Order: sequence, then structure tokens, then C-alpha cells
Amino acid sequence: MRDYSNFIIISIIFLLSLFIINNPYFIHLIILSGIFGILAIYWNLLDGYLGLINFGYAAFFGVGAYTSAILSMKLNITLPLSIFIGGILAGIIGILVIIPCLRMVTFSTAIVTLAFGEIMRIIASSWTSLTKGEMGLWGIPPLFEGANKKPYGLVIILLLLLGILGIQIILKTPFGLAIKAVRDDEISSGVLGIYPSRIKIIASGISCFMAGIVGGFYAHYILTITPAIFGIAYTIQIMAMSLLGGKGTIYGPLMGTLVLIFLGEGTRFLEDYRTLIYGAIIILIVMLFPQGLAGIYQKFQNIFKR
Amino acid sequence: MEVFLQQVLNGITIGAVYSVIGVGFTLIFGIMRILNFAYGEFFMIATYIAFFAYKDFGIPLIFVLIIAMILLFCFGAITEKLIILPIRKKAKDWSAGVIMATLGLQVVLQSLALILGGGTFRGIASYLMGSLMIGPLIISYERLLILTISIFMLIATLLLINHTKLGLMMQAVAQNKEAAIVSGINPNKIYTISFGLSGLLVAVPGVLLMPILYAYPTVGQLPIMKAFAVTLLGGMGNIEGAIIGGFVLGIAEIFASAYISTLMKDGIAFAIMILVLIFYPSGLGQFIKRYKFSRSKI
Amino acid sequence: MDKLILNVDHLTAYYDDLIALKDISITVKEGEIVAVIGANGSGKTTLLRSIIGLHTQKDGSITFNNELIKDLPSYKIVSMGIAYVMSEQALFPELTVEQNLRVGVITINKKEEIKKAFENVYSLFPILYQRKNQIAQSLSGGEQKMLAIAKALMMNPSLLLLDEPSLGLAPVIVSKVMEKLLEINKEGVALLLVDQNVQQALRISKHAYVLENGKIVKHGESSSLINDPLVKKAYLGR
Repeated sequence: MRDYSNFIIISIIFLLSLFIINNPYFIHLIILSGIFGILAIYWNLLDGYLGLINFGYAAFFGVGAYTSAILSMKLNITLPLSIFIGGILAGIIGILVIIPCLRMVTFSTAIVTLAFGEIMRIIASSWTSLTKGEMGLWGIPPLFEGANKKPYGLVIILLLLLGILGIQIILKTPFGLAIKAVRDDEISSGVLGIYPSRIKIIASGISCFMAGIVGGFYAHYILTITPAIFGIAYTIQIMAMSLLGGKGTIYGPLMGTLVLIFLGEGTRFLEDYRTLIYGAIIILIVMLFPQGLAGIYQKFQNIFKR
Repeated sequence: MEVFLQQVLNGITIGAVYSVIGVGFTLIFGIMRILNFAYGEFFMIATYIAFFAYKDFGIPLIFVLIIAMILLFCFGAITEKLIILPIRKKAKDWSAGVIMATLGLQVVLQSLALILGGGTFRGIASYLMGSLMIGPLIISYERLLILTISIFMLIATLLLINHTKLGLMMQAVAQNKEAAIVSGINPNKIYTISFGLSGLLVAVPGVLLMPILYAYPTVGQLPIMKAFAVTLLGGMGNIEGAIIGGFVLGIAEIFASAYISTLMKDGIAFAIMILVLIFYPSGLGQFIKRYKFSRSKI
Repeated sequence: MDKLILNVDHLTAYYDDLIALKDISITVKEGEIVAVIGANGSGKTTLLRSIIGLHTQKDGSITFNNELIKDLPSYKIVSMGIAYVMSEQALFPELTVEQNLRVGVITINKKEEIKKAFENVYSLFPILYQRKNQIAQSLSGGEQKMLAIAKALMMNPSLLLLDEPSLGLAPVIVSKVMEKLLEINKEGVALLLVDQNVQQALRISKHAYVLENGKIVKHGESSSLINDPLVKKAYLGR
């Protein structure tokens, strides 16, 4: 039970704040935290746990968003189903992208995923008959009617909690142990009867599936999407949150997300500088605190233990 | 036949530019096992330097080129000292950290350019008029200049690596860092110089392509994508491979846009790249006998 | 000939929390051959890496010709006249024999000195002259070892540190390498060699130290150590 104490605390905080707060702007921030929290956590599943760098992560988010938007607009597919299909498609593409990467070194993986994101962006902006090109899609059907944002908040927070619980459970199963074995020593994990490639393919599928689901939710919440959501800027944002929190931890990326979203909103006058700040955070974290906030927290804990 | 030859000539010109871009990118990978994701932004800085120096200050092109090369060398060296070196000192396996930091640097430089220079395209129509006729073939003087200087830079790079003391030190550090250290070589110095050289190389297309790729905050996206493709085609860190890869890519692109569709031009780079990677994960460079920057164990 | 050139005093070396060498004191006099013998994992390589500066987690003092070199970077230490021959991966695999040797004199600018170094090394190892345009990787094990030693000699050192010069070589080649080492020593180069091949090491050295689990358990004249019952039992299998 102790393993889940963090989870219970976070669930209570999120759900309580959703019930107490009525200011729509703050609810919007909570929703954004949920969206980026999931993305940061599941990006970190690849980078932090498997050492797989996915620089095209935002593209999977974009695939989910565009798929669900197009399906619901053009084919009138009911909403939760279209989001789910978007997630599945993102997961399948995630697997297809990772397969050629398996034979490559880290460096090539980084290049291929980055190039993939760029290709997706180009497709989205040039396939005008389907995506309306650079203009983007608008008039996407909302997930919930009415101006109240609370239902969105509830859905994304439940999704976030499910996502966290999912990772916690995954890491305890034999599959999770295999992930850890692959991370610690890819070559000798093969001796234990673990196939590192299989682990990576499955983890990649899960991670991209989640990005797709969240992307679908995003599309039906924001209601307009442009090809920019495939681009590197979103991936950078997700990376900054994840790295700031601390790679290879579950709650670190969530903390990183909360800090950047609420701090980012506190410094709204810096709007133009936001990307600059995200980039600078990544550089500084990598240079000075490779373990992120989680590492700093750990240090404090050690001090008190003594 | 004449059309065909003309296409080949055009392909070679573009290929030479791609080779220079690719060599600058692959060079530091070969020596340091580092990918510089801010490489496109080095190019972007060169385009701004070129525009201001040429248009606003009216400096002759050749001096603009030299100024840009010197400034980009310094910029590369400073980047290495300020950002890469601290990361290298902190962790034993620095590859992932450096990739992320340079990606961060990429967006930092892009947003800085946007904040300082705004979102306007800055460029010139051309710096050299007229064209040369060789039989049925036509090449504009501008392209001829681009081709000549690019090939000059490629030869100069090969000479530097194969026939100078600095080149020998670079090869030594790349092949066996500890053995290089105990031969009296300071690897940090070599790393800094290599990063500078990478900047110097990318400054050349940054200046010469002034009439084609205008100075703009995100102008670096195109060259870095080409650098990726060329590097993966030629084998990571393989200089000769990158040169071959650049020409292969340039010619393939020209033929794709001539005989298939113009829209396919950028897609073809990635298609070739992915095909080669599927069949030859270590690139075309493996067909070159000796690998200057390899770390095969002895 | 009795001047002290290398003085390792109370050296302790770590790998984070692990102590690899404990309170080691070793001296090498000018033109002398000193051997450090010990089993695998006793800390022999760490000792050499600490002296040359490749291993940085260490306490104590290391002086060379009365200059403190403990905290200097390796590339500076080697320019003072210590050369290091690693046990494996000592070469630049894709460079030719001649280029490998050229890296050895990379810090020297005078043309005559470089020429002299080449002449000296080629006369000592004629086989390398025959193979000078061959890639290092394509040499045989023994030739690679000779090249590694030759590359170190190019720097004209007064002290040569040798890590397992007999590792992975056939017995015939081992004695050949040892003969070369004696020849090098005759020209006034002091040698500090660590080796598992205790018999050969004790045969060519004057003094020797026995290293066990990071500590020196015995030292003295090599000729007396070779008859020491403890050494005999543990290392010579007699």
C-alpha cells in the first residue's frame, strides 16, 4: 500500500482542487497540466526507462488529434470512439517508426524520430483536402456541450491518474522488470531470455498510444488544431517538463509539468520568450542537474534521514 | 540526353552543397560521438551575418564569406566550451545529454532570432549575374561559384584531416581517446577546434545560398534535415561517406523533381535515407575501405 | 645512476566508494627496471593509470624528477618524460604504422628530433619499418605490441610504464619482447612494468613489488624474490 501513497495523495489533490476551484481559467490550467502531465510521463517511459529518445513525440499527439478530429467531422464517428481510434493509429505508427530504429544507435533514433515529426508536419500542411493545410481544422465537435470546463477536467484527470497507475502497475509486472533489465544492461538482458527489441516495441506502442489519446482529447477540447502541433516546439515543451522533473521517475515529470505550467502562467508577460525559456531550461537541467527536481528532492530526503 | 546531362550537372551542384553541410555535421560526430541538433541554427546565424554584411554594409562577397567562416568558427568553439564541455565533465555517457542540450540550443537560438530580428525574410535576389554555356549545358555563374567553393572546401577538409598535424590529432582522438591523451594530446582542445570547424563549414553554404535560402529564424530546418540524411547515408562520422552521400542525395533529388514531381523532392531524401538504413544500417560508408574516425577495437 | 626519478608516496586510489590501492609507496631510480607483480585485479593497472594521470580519484603524492605530478593532466605528464604502454587498445587501429609513430612525436616540433626518433625506433624494431605503410589493425599481436612500445619510445621518455607487455602473446614472442625491453633499458630508459608473467618480470627487473588486493605485501631485489617461498607458491606455481 505504501507504494501507492503518493498516488492517493495526488488523486486527492487533483480531484479536490477540481471541485473547489470555480475559476474557468484555473480549471483550464488544470486541464493543461493533465494533458502535458500524461505526455511528459509517457515520453519519459521511453527516454527515462529505456533510453529511447523520441524527438517526434509531438507528432503522435498530432496524429491522435488530427485522426479524431477528421473522423468525427467527416465520418461522424461518435466521439470517444474516434479518440480511441486516433490513439490506436498513433500506437501503430509508433511501432512502425521504432522498428527500423531498433537496429540503429541512439543517435540515429534521435534523427529518425525528429525527421518523422517533420514529415508528419509537412504532410499535415500539404494534404489540404483532408487537413485544410496551414489554416488548420476548426469547428471540431466538442467532447462536452456547454461552457462548463469541469467535465473536461474530470476526464483528463481520471485519464492522468489511470496513466500513472498504469505505469506503476506495468513496472511491477514481469514486463516492467524486463524494461528495467533492458535499461540496466541491454546485452545481458538477452541472456535472461528477454528480447530487448520486443520490450522496446511494446513500450513504444504504449507510449505513442497514450500520446494519441491525449491528442484526441486536446482536439475536442481546444476545437482548433494546426499542423504546428506536430512540430518540434511541442516536443521541446514535453521534454522540458519531463527532464525538469527528473528522468526515470514517475512523479518527476508530473511535477515538472505542474511547475512549468503554473510558473509559465505566472509569467505570462514573457509570452514571446516562452520557447526560449523552455529551451534554456533543457540546457541548464542537462548541464547542472541531470536528475532534475526528483534528484533535488532525493537529496533533501537524504539530509533529513541523517 | 542533353536534358539528362543538365540534370546531372544541377544535381552535382546541389550535391556539393549537401556534402559540405553533411561533412560539417558528421565531423563532430566522428570525433566526439556527438550530434549537434543546433547545427541548422549555425547555418541560420550565417545567413543573418551574410545578409547584414553584404546588404547593409556592402562588404564584397568573398570577405563576407571569410568573416562568416571566422565568426561561425568562434561560435562553434564557444558552444563547445560553454555547453558541451560541462556536460561531458558531468557524465560518462554524455551522448543523450548533449543531444538534448543542443536541441534546447536550437529553440533558444530560433526564438532569439525571432525576438531580435522579427519574422521577416531577409535575402537578396542574386549576387552574380549571367551564366556559362558549355556546349548544350548551362550553368549560372552563381551556381558555378557555389560548386567551385563547395568542392574547394571539401578538398580542403580532406587535406586537413589526412595531411596535417591537426588532422592526425583529430583522427587519433577519434580512434582512441586514451592513447591520444598519453601521446600528449589534449582532447578538449581538439573537441573545441572540431566544433569550430563544423561551424566554419556550415557558414559556407549559409553565405553562398543567400539568394535561395533567405535569413529567417527557422531557415536552419532545411539544412539540418539534409545533414541528417547525408550523415545517415554515408555512415555516422564518416567524412568520405558524407561526401558521397551528399552527391547521391543531390542527384536523386533533382531527378525526383524532374521526372516524378516537385513535391516529392523533400520526401525523396527521407525515402532514400530510410531505404538505405533498412538495408545498410551503418550507411553507404561501409563500402569505403578505411574509416578515418572509426573506433573498431584493436 | 642512483638518482630517484619516480617517487610514489602513500598513494591511495578509489573508484567512488571502492578502494583500489591502499597506501602504496614505490620508487624507481634512473635507468632501473622495476617490476610490480600480482594477480588479476590486484590493482596493477590502476597503479600505472594513477601515475600517468588517467585515474584521477587518488590521494597521496607522486613526484617525477622532484616535481609533483599527481594532479597534472595526463597530456602534460607525458611531455615531462614518462611514457605509458597500455596493455590493450594502445594503438590507433585505422592509422598506418608510420602515422601511429607520428602521433607519438606530435608534441615535438623540431624536424631533426623527429627524424632521430624514427631512426632510433626503426633500428630497434626493423619489422616496423617493413610494415610502415600497413594499418595498425592488420598487424599480428606481437607486432602490435612492438608498435605500442615503439610509439611510446618516440616520445624519448626517461621512464617507460608498461602494462602487461606479455598479455596475450605466445611464449616465444614474450621472450622477444622482453629482450627488446632490456635493449631499451640499456639506452638508459627506466622501466616500470606490471605483469602477470611473474617469471619473466622478475628475470629482467632489478627490484620488484608484490601487489595483493591493492596493498604491497612484499618488496625487494628481484633475484631474492624469485626464490621467496611465498612468491614461489602464489605466482610461480612451484
